[in-house]
Amino acid sequence: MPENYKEPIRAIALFYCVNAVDRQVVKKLEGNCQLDLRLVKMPCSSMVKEVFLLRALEAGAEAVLVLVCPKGHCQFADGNIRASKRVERTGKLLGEAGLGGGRVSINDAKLETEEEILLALRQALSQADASGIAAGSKISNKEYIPSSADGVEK
Amino acid sequence: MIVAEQKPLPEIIEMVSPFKKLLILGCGTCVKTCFAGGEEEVAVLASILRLDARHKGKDIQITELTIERQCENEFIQEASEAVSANDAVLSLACGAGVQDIARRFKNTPVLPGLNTTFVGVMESRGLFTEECLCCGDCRLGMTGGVCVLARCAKKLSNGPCGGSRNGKCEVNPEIDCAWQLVIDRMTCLGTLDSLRQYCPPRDWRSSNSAGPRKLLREDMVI
Repeated sequence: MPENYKEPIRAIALFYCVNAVDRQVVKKLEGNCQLDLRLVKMPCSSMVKEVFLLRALEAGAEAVLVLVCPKGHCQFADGNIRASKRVERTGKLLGEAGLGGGRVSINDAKLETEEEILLALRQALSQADASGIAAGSKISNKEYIPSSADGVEK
Repeated sequence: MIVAEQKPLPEIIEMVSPFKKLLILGCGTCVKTCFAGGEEEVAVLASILRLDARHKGKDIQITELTIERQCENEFIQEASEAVSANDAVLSLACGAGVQDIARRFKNTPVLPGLNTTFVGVMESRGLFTEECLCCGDCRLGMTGGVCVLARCAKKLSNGPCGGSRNGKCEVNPEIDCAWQLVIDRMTCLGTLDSLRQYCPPRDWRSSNSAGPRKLLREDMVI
């Protein structure tokens, strides 16, 4: 490997429920984590829909991670369960089309520190790699902007 | 409502592969209610097809549009411009909608994105059950509003068969015995005795076994 080799910056979209993780902790990761990280905050993870996850992939994300409240802790009863089903369905559709079902994932663990969230992001990228679509593949295209741009934090 | 489900993605991808400009046309009535062909399903499918095209290094331009109904000319006209601007239409409607679109746009290939499954109801969110075979000779009044033709595995007009266990069908223990439902309902209504009346064999000439049926309402024809 050449001495001046730099590992490519990997793009990932993080959809997070504001009740599941501390927004300030998540914000600190932006620009400080060696990742091209796009944040989409949600008042409840039930807001996530299949099309938002897919459009994040169209927008250039190699992987998408959805952070939800732990089981039984959703303030709105079952938002995390709905999110889990939608993430699962999106993965199934991607897998069925041969586009890497593992590129979308969900995490319902209680994540409190930057390190814990960063680890979850890295695991999501590893899972995406394992699903068979290579990093930086033609599937990503930075020209696309998600239509749900209202929720994208600048 | 008419219940349908999306075709497997590999089949859809194969069908649309010859086309560079594709209109995905949703239908906002029955198939929207069963989460198969409304705006959201159109958007998801469009996104998947774009990702697939990019993965394969192909060019594809996808237009997304959902009209109220694909089986009525008034609504179909709203899609005219989008249809003429594309090479093909992937219709997310029931079989009737696909055919109506194909009939009106003779020079554009119209492809089915759904498999039409049955006429039924949404039993609970995400669970759909067949409840009508469209036989053309409705006898729901004799069976307490439960269609034994659609819901009895043996299609018995004079039941029950005696094989049900704990209210479940002996052919498929996962489904309710239709005749048990009839008896429960008619007991509730206090009309159980009317089941003693013999139900004559059905006249199947009103079904689709003699080819496609037509219904003419003379008073509505101008």
